[in-house]
Amino acid sequence: MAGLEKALVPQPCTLIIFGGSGDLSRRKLLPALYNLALDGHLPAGFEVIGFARSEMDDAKYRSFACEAVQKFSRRPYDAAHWAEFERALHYQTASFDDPKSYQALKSRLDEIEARGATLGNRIFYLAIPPSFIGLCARQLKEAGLVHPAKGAEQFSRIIVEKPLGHDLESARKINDELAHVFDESQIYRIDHYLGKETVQNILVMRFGNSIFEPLWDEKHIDHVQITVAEEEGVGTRAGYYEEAGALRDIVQNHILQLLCMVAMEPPYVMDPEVIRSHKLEVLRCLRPFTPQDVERYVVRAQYSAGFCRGLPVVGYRQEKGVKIDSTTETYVALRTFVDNWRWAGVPFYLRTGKRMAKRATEITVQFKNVPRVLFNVDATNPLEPNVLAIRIQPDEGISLRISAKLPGARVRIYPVKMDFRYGTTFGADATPEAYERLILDVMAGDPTLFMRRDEVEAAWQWIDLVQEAWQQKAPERLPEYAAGTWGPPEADRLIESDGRRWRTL
Amino acid sequence: MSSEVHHYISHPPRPVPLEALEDELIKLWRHPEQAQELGTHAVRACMANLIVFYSPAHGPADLDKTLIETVQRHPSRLIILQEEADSGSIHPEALVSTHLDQSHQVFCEQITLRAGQNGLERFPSLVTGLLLEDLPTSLWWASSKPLPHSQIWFLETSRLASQLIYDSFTWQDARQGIRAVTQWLSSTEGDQTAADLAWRRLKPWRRVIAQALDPALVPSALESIVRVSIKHGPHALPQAWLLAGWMAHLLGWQLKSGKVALGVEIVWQFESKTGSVSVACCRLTEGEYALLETAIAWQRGGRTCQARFRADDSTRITVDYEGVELKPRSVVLPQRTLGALVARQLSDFSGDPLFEQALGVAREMADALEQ
Repeated sequence: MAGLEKALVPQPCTLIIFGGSGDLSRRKLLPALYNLALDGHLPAGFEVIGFARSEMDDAKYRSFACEAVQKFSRRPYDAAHWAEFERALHYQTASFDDPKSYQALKSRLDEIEARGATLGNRIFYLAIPPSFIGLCARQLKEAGLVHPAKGAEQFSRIIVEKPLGHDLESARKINDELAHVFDESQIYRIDHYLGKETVQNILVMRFGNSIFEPLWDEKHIDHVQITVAEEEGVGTRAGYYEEAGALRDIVQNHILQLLCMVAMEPPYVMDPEVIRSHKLEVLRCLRPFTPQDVERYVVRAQYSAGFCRGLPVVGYRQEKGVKIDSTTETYVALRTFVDNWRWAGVPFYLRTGKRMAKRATEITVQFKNVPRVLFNVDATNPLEPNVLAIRIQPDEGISLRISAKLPGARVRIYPVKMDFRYGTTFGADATPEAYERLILDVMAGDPTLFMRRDEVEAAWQWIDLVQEAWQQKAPERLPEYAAGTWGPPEADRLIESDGRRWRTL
Repeated sequence: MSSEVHHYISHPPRPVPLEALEDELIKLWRHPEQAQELGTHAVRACMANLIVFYSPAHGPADLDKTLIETVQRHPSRLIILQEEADSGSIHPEALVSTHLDQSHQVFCEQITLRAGQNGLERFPSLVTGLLLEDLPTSLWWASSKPLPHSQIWFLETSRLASQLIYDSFTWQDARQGIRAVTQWLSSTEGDQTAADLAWRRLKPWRRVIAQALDPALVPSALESIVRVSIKHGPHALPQAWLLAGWMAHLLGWQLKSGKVALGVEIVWQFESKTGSVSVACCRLTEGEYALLETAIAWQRGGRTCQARFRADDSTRITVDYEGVELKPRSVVLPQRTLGALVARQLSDFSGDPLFEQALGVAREMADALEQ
């Protein structure tokens, strides 16, 4: 029988966090759950089981979670609310390859579910390295912990974190392993960028306003830039990063997802499958790279020693855990095209890097300039073109640069910004963390903001063309850029050869 | 405690750790306490980024007041790079303060970065992270020291700006100053501009000279100029050179030689299409830091005629003629504070080609004195 609530709402469930004592749990997942509880978004029946290798009991896990919340929560720690929230936290020490651990987990679940509040629903959050995904999925199945997608009153869902593989082949392998246990409708491949308010707002901005969409095509847009700039170095992730590099770590997922949101055709309904199919179409329209294209239109580089925000930092090869002769790229810039009717001939410039001048993720849509008449006759001093900047982080917002007349007797034109900032407009606490939204969506069974298998594989297929070209021509040393700058001169030349420039963020 | 200047409330700078600067600036907008205190809603002021290099021993005395006036006229994010000559520390320290306009509810943030000589190399990476995107960026060299055009930290910082503003009125050595600016300009690949506030102050002079010697008024005067004599107060020599450079460029004069005469007078010889032109710059020991008088003489029918332009009381320029039947006239000399001049220059970030051409001639004039 249908309930009283007609909207898609979070369902009662137990959330089992594989890697529940790890860094992602500490920094993101546990604080997200706490904030959801503070906002009253969690369902009445909600329990958490941390499932990880560290030796802990429930009390220790609660204290671990309490510290995490105090340090990383978006909203301040509140002792009274915490006391209520922590009762939902449990912990089960585990070895992911040991069936006994899964039997122990089953016992914990049976015990929790016997109370009835969670209705027997289960969400498995795999906050673990991708190499464990297949193993854990198999063990879950063998332990009888997974409800079937159809025919069961309870649901089982699984959340997997990026990176899903390191190329198309390995991604397919992981997807196959998941598919042996879970139906595609049960699998939620998370890219936390899609949970950010500004990213979701791209669709609202494009399709909820009448002024943008008529201009959203090759007739009016000169080019698009997508930048994901990180200020940090590799930190403690050198082991992973040495194998991944910037292309796999950021371009394959975050940047391509942002590109899809910008370039997709208007969906006719806010249906997960429609949205995801439209995104897939964009990925399939990405112009494939030939090895010659890779040489000309893809730049990779490594950071060298420099200053970040006034503090000296070492180069990539001097980082702990990085090989002294490493050729892993910490920076990628590339030019691509979406070969469809709407975007014909419009270049998309994508770049990402570590140890860049500042942390900034931004999509900028630069419109074509006005004709060289009237106010734009001076070829040596052209008007600044209109730029729509969608800032994903930090300080999420949207700004539009327009030309305005400076007050005074003469006609002098000056670029001004119309600025909208989430934090300023809606208040500092109004913007939830991406993980909050995404976890709620899984509870509600809404996969719109998660990647479908075919999306992930299409993205890898395109990325593999670059990786293969790089492997064929492995250099002894990559171009370098000083830490704290916006990248190597090669990347400047890439865009300047088209008569354009990277934006200074 | 707050201080009030021009209806602005400025809150005293407070130290912020370098790594927390970005968060602090974002917080300002999410919790503009100053605005809340006043019960108003603050609007971000964002026309430009203004980087200011300043060293207390060599900068304007009233920099704070000047900058508040600047942002009042041209709202900008202020990033002040302060050289602490006595400090041996290589670690810059950061301070954040805000300026709030009571009547317009406009809110500007100011970030002050202080470092000793050894910490200057860290400025570029700090400034890079603090610039607001999509806004023109200018660097104001608010120091009497010549531009350190070959120092890496300066080159990297200046590359962040589309315009370098300086004030040659503060220079101790005009030749060294002009050389430093022209050398910096030649290193910019043509995508940056320089602006001398002295050139902006010169505008009324240029206008009145152009009007007074307009061919419709005194036919053939411009092409038959034989002598230009410029008298100026202390520190206005570069401005006098710019005036001479402006005329030489527009009238197509070629520089032949230059020499220092009598210690306070410098004389150059130019060649025009009709003959020799002598340009003399004479520094008066007293008077305003400004151009005081310019006399331009030309030949007409075997006679020497002259137009004399005089700043009588710093509020007007009076023109009187000798040898031609024209009545004296005068124009208003607008009074602009330093803050207003900087603000005005910020909106002209695309540069003035005429200035750069005049500067080029001024550089030749400086070099000629060495020969």
